[in-house]
Amino acid sequence: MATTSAWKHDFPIFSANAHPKLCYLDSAATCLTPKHVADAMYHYQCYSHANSHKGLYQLSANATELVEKGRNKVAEFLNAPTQSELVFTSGTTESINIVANCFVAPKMNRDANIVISSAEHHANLLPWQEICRLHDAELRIAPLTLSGIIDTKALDLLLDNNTLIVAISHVSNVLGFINPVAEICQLAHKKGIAVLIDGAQAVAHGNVNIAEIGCDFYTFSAHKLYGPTGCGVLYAKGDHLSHMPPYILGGGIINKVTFQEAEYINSPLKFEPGSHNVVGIVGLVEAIDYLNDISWFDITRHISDLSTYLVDKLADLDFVKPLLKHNCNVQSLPSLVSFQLEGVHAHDVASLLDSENIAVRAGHHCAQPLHQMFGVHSSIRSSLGLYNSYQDIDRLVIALNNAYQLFAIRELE
Amino acid sequence: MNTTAGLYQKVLLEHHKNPLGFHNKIAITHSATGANVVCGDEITVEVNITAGKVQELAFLGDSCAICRASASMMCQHLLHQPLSQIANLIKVPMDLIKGEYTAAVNSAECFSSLAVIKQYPVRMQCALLPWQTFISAINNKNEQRG
Repeated sequence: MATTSAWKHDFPIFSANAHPKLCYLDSAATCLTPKHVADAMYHYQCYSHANSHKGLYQLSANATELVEKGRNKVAEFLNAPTQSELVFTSGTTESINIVANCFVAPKMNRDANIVISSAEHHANLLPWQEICRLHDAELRIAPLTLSGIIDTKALDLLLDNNTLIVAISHVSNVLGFINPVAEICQLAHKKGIAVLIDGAQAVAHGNVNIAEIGCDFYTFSAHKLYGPTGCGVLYAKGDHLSHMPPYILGGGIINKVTFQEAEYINSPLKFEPGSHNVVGIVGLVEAIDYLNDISWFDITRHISDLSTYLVDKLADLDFVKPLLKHNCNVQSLPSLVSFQLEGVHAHDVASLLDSENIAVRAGHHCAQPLHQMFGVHSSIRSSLGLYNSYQDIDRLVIALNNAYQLFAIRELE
Repeated sequence: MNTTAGLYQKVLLEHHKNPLGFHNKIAITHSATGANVVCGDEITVEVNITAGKVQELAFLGDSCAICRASASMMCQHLLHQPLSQIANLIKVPMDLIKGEYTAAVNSAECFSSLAVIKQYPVRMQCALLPWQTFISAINNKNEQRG
């Protein structure tokens, strides 16, 4: 097997004048940027930039075309049904907040409830927690199975006539397993309940197929897909958007406005006030093209091989305690593993790894309640990307051994 | 290229592995719990203040080596000190951690291993947390833990 990634040279951050020794194992936080994406953004900004959807001159029309073609590209990438709409947002967080505040909040009352899972990122917890608090409504938490995926039977029991939405992650940012989202959509839809899927950690797995999943809303961020930060997507099924009021008010979202009132347009543009992040959308489109060119088959195989190696290597270290042990019955290996080192704090591990040019995430990964559920404050998360290799995992294992030797407080355990 | 290994100097590691005041049972008159918002760590500082002096000092909680060592140094530094001197006594280490210490270095020698933390801004709060929590504790008269 190859010790280096065939695609590592596409990422300038590893070049001799940048960080040639970097071992980047934090792709779940953000993916590094391939040159193709950076170049596309640079060329747009230098040679084609204009304000889209507003100017009557050709340069502006070209920018508008880039945005609208981008919308089609993303719809194709997600295999979104024809009868659906896509909104460009600043990221997953804004996308979820739009649904919480514009789709769910107008229907809220004190008898209502919202169902999420115990493995949600704060971005898919706090918006729901807040609107429940404001309306004295109930936030219901679906538990996980022992394998770390959402327990569908237990979730089904939480759904009733007063459930306004089920909001769950496609893949947990801490555990990494793929949740049975299509099954959950079927359960919810049988009871007439809408479903939002937070796809932030799933898009880099490829093969997202919204037509098969059948969800009402799907959200993701470009930077989890080798694109730029500050650009994200909200997919909405059918005519959901037309029944939702705008979220942020500003230019470009009205048919007609007087000092007394405004009539809003009925299209995704209603949720895209102000000037579009065209350069971000260009970056997202280029990232999708880059990944399609590699082929999702090769990407999936690469990550899956590395993931197997990572899980096996960590299992060999008796002082490594995964938050959840991998279960062979769960669909797909995770592209990330969260774990603790016995007797060593996660921050100390991350600092020592940093001294050896290894970047991992340490803390609660914006999923504090999930860590509380496991009875810990923090964990170390190692997550994989296109540029990683077996060599990176070998370096991680050596550095974890060093950290354990330096910090472990065995006598106090 | 950083030298994070330099963050973990011998003295600091010694305090981390053999912390003073860690989980000591004391007659608490003042206590407070502080949290590091970055990582969610919590530390509880317990103090016995009698006759205007810090008679006993203890801490507990799940925290990193930097926080734990800093707390241990704090227990060593403030034990048996009069309350009237506390503000001056905690200023030196806190300024040192923040990189704001301007007086002669020798007066802060016992905290020299904390001085390196200013080079690692992401870890500054870890080192400050015990001292900040101690300040909260002495302002929380008779607040019991739990």
